[in-house]
Amino acid sequence: MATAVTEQGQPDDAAPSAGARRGVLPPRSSLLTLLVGVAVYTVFGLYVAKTGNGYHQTVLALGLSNVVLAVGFSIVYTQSGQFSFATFGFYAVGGFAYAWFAKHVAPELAMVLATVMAGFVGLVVRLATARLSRLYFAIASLAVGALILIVFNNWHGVSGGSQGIGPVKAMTFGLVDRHHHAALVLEVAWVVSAAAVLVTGLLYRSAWSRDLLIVRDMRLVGRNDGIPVRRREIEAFVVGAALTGLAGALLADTNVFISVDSFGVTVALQALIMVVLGGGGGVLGPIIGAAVLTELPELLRSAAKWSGLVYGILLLVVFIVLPEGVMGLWDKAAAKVGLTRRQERR
Amino acid sequence: MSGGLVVEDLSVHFGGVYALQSMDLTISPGTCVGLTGPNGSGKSTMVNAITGLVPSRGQVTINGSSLRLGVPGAAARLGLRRTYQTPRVHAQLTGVENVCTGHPAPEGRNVVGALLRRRRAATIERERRAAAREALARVGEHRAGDIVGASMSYGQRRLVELARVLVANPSVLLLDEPGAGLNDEETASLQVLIGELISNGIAVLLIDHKVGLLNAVCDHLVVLEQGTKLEEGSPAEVWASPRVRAAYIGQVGDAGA
Repeated sequence: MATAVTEQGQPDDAAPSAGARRGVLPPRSSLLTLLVGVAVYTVFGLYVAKTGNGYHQTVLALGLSNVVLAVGFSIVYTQSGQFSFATFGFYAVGGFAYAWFAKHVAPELAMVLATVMAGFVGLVVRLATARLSRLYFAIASLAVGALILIVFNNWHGVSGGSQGIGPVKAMTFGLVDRHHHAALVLEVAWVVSAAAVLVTGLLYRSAWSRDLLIVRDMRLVGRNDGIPVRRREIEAFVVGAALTGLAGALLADTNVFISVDSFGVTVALQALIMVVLGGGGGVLGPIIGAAVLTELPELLRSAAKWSGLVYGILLLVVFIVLPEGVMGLWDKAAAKVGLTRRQERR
Repeated sequence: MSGGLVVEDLSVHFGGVYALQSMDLTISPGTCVGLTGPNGSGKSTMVNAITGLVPSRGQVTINGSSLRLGVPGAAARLGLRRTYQTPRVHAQLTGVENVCTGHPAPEGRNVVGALLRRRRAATIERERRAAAREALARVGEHRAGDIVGASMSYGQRRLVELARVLVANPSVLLLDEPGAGLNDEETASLQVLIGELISNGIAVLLIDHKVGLLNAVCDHLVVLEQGTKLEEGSPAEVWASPRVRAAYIGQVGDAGA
């Protein structure tokens, strides 16, 4: 009951400030904007796949896997207010499920199965932990992630144990491998991540996602207004777990090799940093965050032994300068030139 | 089976202290009961107990159905809605969006509907928004429709919150100090609005300190002190009671002593 009292006493202004000056849903579904965005994204991706070298293509493909990871994390964390470390577990489920299924069925189907599998594991996990408060859930999720890794560590038939599994069969989607493997992987990653972003974008624009904000910030008020809060929470968690699994499948597809060592709690922390760095209450923030966090270590390779330090300092500076993430900066700039959406209009 | 709200022997205690002791209260459809009393007398505690925010014991019946106590959302399923002492409006959502979250239509609000039945969801969402604007107009706050909660004045938040519960067409409505922080003009229109709600057949529980408002809309007043009923009856009877006068003003003769 302590939660009841706290929630009663909390002013709503305590809500996370990301995107505070905007309403959440556009009056009409801006499906067109979304489609244009995905089209631009795809054209750019295919351009790099055609002209870039293998190294760039692989890094970009990893970046796209991270995009899927970040949008999945943002649905769960930014939108529904659940912090979960179990992300790295679902990432592993997706990766190993893909590698295993791809041996037996078409890789494209294996990807779908891996996604569903991760979503299912997410469902079981969230049902089992449904009664925990948010803080305890966060701690329990760490244990869940670790547990999943232990299972894979010992399930040699699926994970290959410490040797890992490789080569993982690649998806093609009927695309022709014109140049080399990396180009194909990038094309596939681009198509899959575009689809994931589109789905997430549609979800962000739905009444469902609006209810999630109430679930996040005004739980008890929501319940007293008839919103099935726990169910919404579980739905968001399952969607997030499925997207995380999809990201894991893309990772396995891109790296061609997968082992338990690829997964650890840092995956969840990376996802958190991507989401916070990108900021905002939509898909664009996580995409920007994923792009920065994938490219930054690559760019710092030349700094060799200092790269870890420079990476940390850069992140720190960015967070101090941009407390609301990149999208927060964007909102401020938009407000300056009078582009703020729907404030005191009509 | 009678409609409205029936509360029998409702008690709330925190440790050894009773915040509410053996409360009985009946509100028939289309009537308004006023609940008043000094701060800390148990008014909000009663609303919190009915809506499951604090643990309680007793019997509560809403529209003839027995309510499971201590479960937030259970009262909502039986058609009861409440407002809060400090208005609860989401800071990032506009007035219309805030009100939409109180709308009962479920379409587009689960993950499958949001993805696969988009056309239906869009149709219902338009209806929801129209209903939200209507509810906002009803409380006299159509201007707050496109402002986010963070930019609303205190009075606007109160009225937007009220619109959010009204859009659900509740049959029982618990208003926790709806008049607090409103100016005279706003209070006057609130009075008219509550009058309309009552004539629409809603059972209203009105917690307030404003005597004028209570007298104008309530058929029956209950005065609480330290978790128990100090007095109840028609407004005229209650205000004439020496016990009520003593609780509010102090014992007769105290002033000079």
